[in-house]
Amino acid sequence: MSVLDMRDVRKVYRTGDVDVVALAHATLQVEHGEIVALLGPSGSGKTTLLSIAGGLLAPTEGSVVVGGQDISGYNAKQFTQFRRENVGFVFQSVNLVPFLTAEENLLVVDELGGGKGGRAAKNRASKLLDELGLGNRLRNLPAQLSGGERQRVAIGRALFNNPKLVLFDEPTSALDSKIGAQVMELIHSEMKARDTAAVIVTHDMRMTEYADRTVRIIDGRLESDRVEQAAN
Amino acid sequence: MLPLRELRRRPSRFIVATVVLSFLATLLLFLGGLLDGLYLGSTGAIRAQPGDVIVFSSGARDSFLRSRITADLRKEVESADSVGEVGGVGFVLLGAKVPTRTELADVTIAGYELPPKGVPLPPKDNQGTADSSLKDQGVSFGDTILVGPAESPITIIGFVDDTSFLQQGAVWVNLPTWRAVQNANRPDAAVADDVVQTLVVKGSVVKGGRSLSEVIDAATADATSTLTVDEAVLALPGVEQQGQTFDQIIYSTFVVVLAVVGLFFSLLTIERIGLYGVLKAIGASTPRLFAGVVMQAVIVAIFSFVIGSLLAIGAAIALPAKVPLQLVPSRFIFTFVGLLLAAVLGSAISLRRVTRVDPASAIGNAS
Repeated sequence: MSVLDMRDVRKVYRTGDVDVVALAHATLQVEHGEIVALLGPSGSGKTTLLSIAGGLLAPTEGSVVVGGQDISGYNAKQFTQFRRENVGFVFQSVNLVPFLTAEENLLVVDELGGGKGGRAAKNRASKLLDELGLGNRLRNLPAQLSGGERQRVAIGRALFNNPKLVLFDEPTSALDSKIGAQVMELIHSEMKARDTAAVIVTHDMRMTEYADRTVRIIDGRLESDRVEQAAN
Repeated sequence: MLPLRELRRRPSRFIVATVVLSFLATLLLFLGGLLDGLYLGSTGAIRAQPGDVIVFSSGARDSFLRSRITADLRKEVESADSVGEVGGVGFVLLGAKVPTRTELADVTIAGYELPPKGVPLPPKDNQGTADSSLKDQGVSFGDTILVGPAESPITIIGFVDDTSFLQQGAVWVNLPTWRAVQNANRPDAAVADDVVQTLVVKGSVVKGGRSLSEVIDAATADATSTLTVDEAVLALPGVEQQGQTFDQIIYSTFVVVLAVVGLFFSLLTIERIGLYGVLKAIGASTPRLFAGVVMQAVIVAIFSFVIGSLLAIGAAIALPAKVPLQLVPSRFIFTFVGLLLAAVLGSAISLRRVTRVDPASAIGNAS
């Protein structure tokens, strides 16, 4: 069974008297451990697709199943719980909580789930950050970290709850190409090591080499769904 | 806890609100302290009265100083149904020479029969129990003060708290001494030997749905005007007006507190919209985020209250004793509860904004 199974999904926004179709009958499946790059120009609908896959937006039509849960008809409260427990996000900007240390930024996920940031959660956070090469940066605030380090903390936060699916929104756009490549390598290795599915939105063709597949989207339509060779 | 960590790690963000609210808390306590000081200083001698009602002569318009109760009228009151103990009361406001001071002390010579709260049985002639506020004016135990232009001597044999009358500390004397002082120093308002200004009456339960006041006034054919002790307190000149004026200022200040909290946390919420979007996207609920805003507002209010209290206490110590500022525990509790309420209501203004934050905004404008 696919981790992400979107079938015939439409998203229509109403602007005045005009309906704007942001996503038109999109169908996409992502399997365990699979990394899919979603490529498309601005305004093509890739962010809408990512938002629907992550339970940030409800589709106008179609079905969305994530980890076996059909979230198509969820209300806001159900979406909140779903996101907390099933999906990891790595955003392009406004990312980490600025007044929390790297470790605490991971523990936020535990706190939002009702945890108290106890020993087990702390151990998990420090282990994750250690794996991400930030073992000596646990107590640093985001302002004390480089762009690449901040993004690694964000990856740690996304992985903290062992999600089935991690969604990346242009994770390297704020980084230079060298650091961007390092971050993509890290994403690739972490996803593979955990058998976690990932959808990565990107403008940058070079980043697609870290994906198992590249899906192009133009004007709300998924144009191709072909397998490409992963670089690693 | 996210809101607490922000307060601890970024205290500078909350300094402006804390400083403004601290000054407002000081102002609230200062105004309340003045109101309490004026109220307590004006009414202590009446609040201490041991009866249920106070009987004025009908033409006195509920004024202690104008009222005159003759012996015949007193008999009519005493014979009324449900009337128990009855005691005469008389006040005269005068200046008094104190042995150690050149300046006159402002005193109220208060004659009584039924001992007010904390006051012993009526003493011998020319002796009196003084209100402790007179200590600030140099009155000491054993002093003989010379009262009024006639310099009527009264020896102080003890002190009692909270029995001032119209901002002048009372000296509690027996009725003959009060009459002697009144007649010697206010010959224009002299009283006969059997006359008092008012009567304090203790009563039993009245039958037939009528109040003790109504029973007494009916028994005297409306030659008296009888008030409960609380009504008599409010009938004192200026007490009710002072209370209303200060209350309006105090409640207006609470509205300012509410506006400050509302404005400050609205701005803070606007600043945090991006962060709230991310937190909602990773699973934070609106109630949790809003509770964080309220928690921060409440903590800022508590800090402000503590600072404001210290400033108000400092002001009370630094100000001369003449300023009728009295900081009583109930005023602190009232101000504290009011600040907390204003903090919660003020921060509630941010609820709509927090609710409207779209988690999808975390990944840019959906396109």
